[in-house]
Amino acid sequence: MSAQIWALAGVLAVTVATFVVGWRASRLANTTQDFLVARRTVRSRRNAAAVSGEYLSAASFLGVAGLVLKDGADALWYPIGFTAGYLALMLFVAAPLRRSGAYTLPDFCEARLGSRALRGLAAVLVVAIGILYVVPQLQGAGLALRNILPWVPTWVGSAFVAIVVIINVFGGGMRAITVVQAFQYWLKLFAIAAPTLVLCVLFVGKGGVRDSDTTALSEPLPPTFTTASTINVETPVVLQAKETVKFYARGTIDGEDADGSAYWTAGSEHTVDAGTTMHFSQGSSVPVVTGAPADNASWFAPAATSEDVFTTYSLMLALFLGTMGLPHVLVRFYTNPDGRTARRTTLHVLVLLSLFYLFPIMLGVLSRLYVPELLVDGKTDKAVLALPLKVVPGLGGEILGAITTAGAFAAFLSTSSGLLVSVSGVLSTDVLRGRVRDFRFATAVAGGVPLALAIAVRQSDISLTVGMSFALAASTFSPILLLGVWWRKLTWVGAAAGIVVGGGLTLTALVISTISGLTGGWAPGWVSQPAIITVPSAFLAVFLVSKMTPAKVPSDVAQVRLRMHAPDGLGLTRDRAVASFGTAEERSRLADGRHRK
Amino acid sequence: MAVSVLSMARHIAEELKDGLSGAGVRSAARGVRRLLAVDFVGMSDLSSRVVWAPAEPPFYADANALVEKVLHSETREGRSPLVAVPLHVHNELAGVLVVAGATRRAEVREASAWIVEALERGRLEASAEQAAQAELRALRAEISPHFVYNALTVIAALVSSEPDRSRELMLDFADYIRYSLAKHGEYTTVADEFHAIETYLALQRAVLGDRLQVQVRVAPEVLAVALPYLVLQPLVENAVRHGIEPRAGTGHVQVRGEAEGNDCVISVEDDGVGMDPALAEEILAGRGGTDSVGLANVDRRLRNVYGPWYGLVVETAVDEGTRVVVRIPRFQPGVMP
Amino acid sequence: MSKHSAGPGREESGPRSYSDPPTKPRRKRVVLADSRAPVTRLRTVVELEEQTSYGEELVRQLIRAQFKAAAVAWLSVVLTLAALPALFFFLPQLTLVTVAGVRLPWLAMGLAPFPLLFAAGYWYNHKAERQERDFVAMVEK
Repeated sequence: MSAQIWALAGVLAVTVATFVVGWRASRLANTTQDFLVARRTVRSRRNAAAVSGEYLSAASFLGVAGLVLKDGADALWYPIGFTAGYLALMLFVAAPLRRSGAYTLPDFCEARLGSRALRGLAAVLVVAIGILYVVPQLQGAGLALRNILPWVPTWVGSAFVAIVVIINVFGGGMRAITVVQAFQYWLKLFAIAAPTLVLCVLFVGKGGVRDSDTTALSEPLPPTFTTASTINVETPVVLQAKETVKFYARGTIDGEDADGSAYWTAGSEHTVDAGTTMHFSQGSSVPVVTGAPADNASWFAPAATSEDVFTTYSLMLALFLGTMGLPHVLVRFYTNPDGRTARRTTLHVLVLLSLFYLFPIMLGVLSRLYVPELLVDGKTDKAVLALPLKVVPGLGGEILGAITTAGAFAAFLSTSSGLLVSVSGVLSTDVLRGRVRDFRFATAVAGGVPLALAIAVRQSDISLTVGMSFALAASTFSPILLLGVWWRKLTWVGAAAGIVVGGGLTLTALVISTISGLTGGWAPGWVSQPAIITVPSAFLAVFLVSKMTPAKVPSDVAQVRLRMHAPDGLGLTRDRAVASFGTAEERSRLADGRHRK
Repeated sequence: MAVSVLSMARHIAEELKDGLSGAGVRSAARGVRRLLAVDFVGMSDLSSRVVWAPAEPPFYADANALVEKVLHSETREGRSPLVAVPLHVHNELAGVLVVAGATRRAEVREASAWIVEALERGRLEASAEQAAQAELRALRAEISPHFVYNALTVIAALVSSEPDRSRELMLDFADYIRYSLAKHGEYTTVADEFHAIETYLALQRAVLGDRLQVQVRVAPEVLAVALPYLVLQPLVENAVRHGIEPRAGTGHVQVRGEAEGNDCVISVEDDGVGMDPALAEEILAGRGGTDSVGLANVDRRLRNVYGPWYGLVVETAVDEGTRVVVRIPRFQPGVMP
Repeated sequence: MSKHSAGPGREESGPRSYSDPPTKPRRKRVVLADSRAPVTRLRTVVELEEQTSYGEELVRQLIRAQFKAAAVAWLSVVLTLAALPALFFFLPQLTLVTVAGVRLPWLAMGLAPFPLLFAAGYWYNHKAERQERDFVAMVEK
């Protein structure tokens, strides 16, 4: 009971803090003062913290650990991919994009290719990607709240986060978005690092893996329950038992009523229906949901089948190229004053992200030892939330659990806010064009639609859904960004073809995998991560169609390229009369108020 | 049928935007040729160098001679199948149109009239742009001598008593003059405009002393937004000159810049004497007299660059102060500092 | 549709932040009816330096050099990372190797990539900034 109170207190504290930080930073000071000479630029580090804060969503905070718990070494590609995506951004896109002056992705399409039709198409895709990314955040919120208060239906958590975010954006709390998101990063880092360090210290103190209660991670045996556990299966699941296991069940197993002890032989697979309760005694081996490695040795080792390797490469492609196409990533670049700072900011982001991802990985490994029961119903995203109490029973565990829950909610809030602001911005600019630009109406739509979807659609692993939105971004916008920045002959027709082909293929794959998920899972693994097919197709489409429409190359392409690649501060694009009033050096020395403060 | 004719006519007009010496002449000539369904069409400006579509005809010597004749006589010369007509743009000769092929007089006349209209419109647009530039330059030169005198006097007064402050103010003054007068491109950043108004306000505070209290706040997210030159400065000068100076006691001026969705919103507010809203409307419409050209100019320039939704919004009433709001999109194609 | 909203009306805004207690200001909003003044958007021309063919060539060289640096950084990272799944697939005995108490796959995939990514980024940043400095020095002579 007290664990729940602590956790709720943590959640409320984070929510309140978010509001307070946002509103305080955007209101005027109360006293009349002289100049508040606004800091001329946002320091690279602050901006990097803001970018990282917004980027670290539920997928990073909860999903990574959950997938490590379920899939083992293969899940490590997620944190690598999330970070490598930023490297790709930095190498190929950051500085030229900033110099182009574009604020959003549709802006870039218009700036580079001069087509309003393409801009509209890009806007539609931005909204689609944004919605696809927000839905798992809201579902994760529902899951997290349910973890604290099991009697609460999942839609409550989703609605809570959605409403908080909408109110925050309405109230202007996101106007000081840099400050708010930077704060969120440090909060999340603390919320994941502190518990992890504490748990690791205690783990090592307890004797580590030599603790006889648990299966060693490298043994070809399934994990074992460290304590007696009761699992309520909420969605139908197919389990595989690597070893024989005896347990008590009440509900429906394999289509027959079960009430009493059940006995599964080694290597068998069984279907467990929703509403079944299973009780395992301490030390019994854990049956694992099919599709995931069933014993610790195969969990510990990376992909061993060719299909898995194929899926891994597909995932890498999606994550490496998808980051640059996410709506809330690009807009953060605008805060940098020039291209050089944009590059540096991304470098700092790499550091901040790498620092963060260390911890969920460790938590995932610990979860395999301490909360293997999550493998039974497949809801491994709860790992970070449930782990502290298992390792440290009592007050310490409750507090640590509250911290991680608070961090998870910080992740939901920050990413959803960032996405909401970006998507509603694009909606009000590009879709509701011609009418009075009503930002608030767009915000309500951009918040309400994902909420409806989050409630209606079945929940799958957070990281998988997020991976799909990365695939969509990689298949639609990364060809345009990469080729737009570096290739002269890109035309708007080619770009549109790329969006249609890449987006169409990805959305088809999404539909197929959803249907397959509901009707028994007949689709091969790569359909849920189709990047390896869709991304090259998109690139090919863009390339070929651009070659076929050479007349549509924008007439100012040489000037646009010059603007994007010319080093900052060069007189090439700006005033030539600097000579009349001092050298460029003098001007920059004097002309920024430094003589005053 | 009508659609292709109209679209061809539009294409011709588009290509002739830069005049008869511009890059689109050949393309326009091709269009004219297609419309008239003849073998050859040529257009030349006053240099008598003819641009032909589809290519130079075998009888080009004759055609060139005809063109020379037209340039001298300024009337139609030749007969079908080789005709040359003058092109009079705004009642002065600008070039010649040559048509080789079977045509009727009416056709050639209509074609040349259309070309002339296209050229006239192109010229009008060019001169509108020039007018805007000139007005911008005039605006720049509009530094109030009264202000300069006061500022320099104050600086001089402080030289011995507060030398550091006096030095600061002098540098502020130098910045202010540099920004207002230097020849720049068309656009600047919010950061630079805010710096300019800060120098101005620093000087005014030195001149007005306690009668002026100032608060300037700008969100870092919008510092990099590009906007046209001298959009904020006239507003702030108005606020101080018309709002605060005429009034007794302390006046407050508040300048804020922040992001709102995809837009950047900047507001200049003062609690001075305000003005009659009807008068404000007159001023925005350009009928306010030479004194308040600034506001109308800013409004017009904003709407020219960003579109009709982005004019100034003025909130005011007598003795209630004034608030002027500028709203610009963070990204607008072609607007780059 | 000549008057449009620029945000919350003055009448509804919150307390002003001056030290004098505010009377609710009753101002009237004024927006110009856009029928009179010209609304046609002038073609906004971006002013750029006259591009001589030499200047164009210099810029093209810079672009090529920067792309090469970026490609080198990217490929070295991606090829290293992409080799890992194939490596562990074809040589499964590598998955049993232990370095400092930690299995090789976890080290190679969970720890090592991050410094690698940062190193590539840092190298590229350094190179790109130097290229840009050289370019500016050359052009501004």
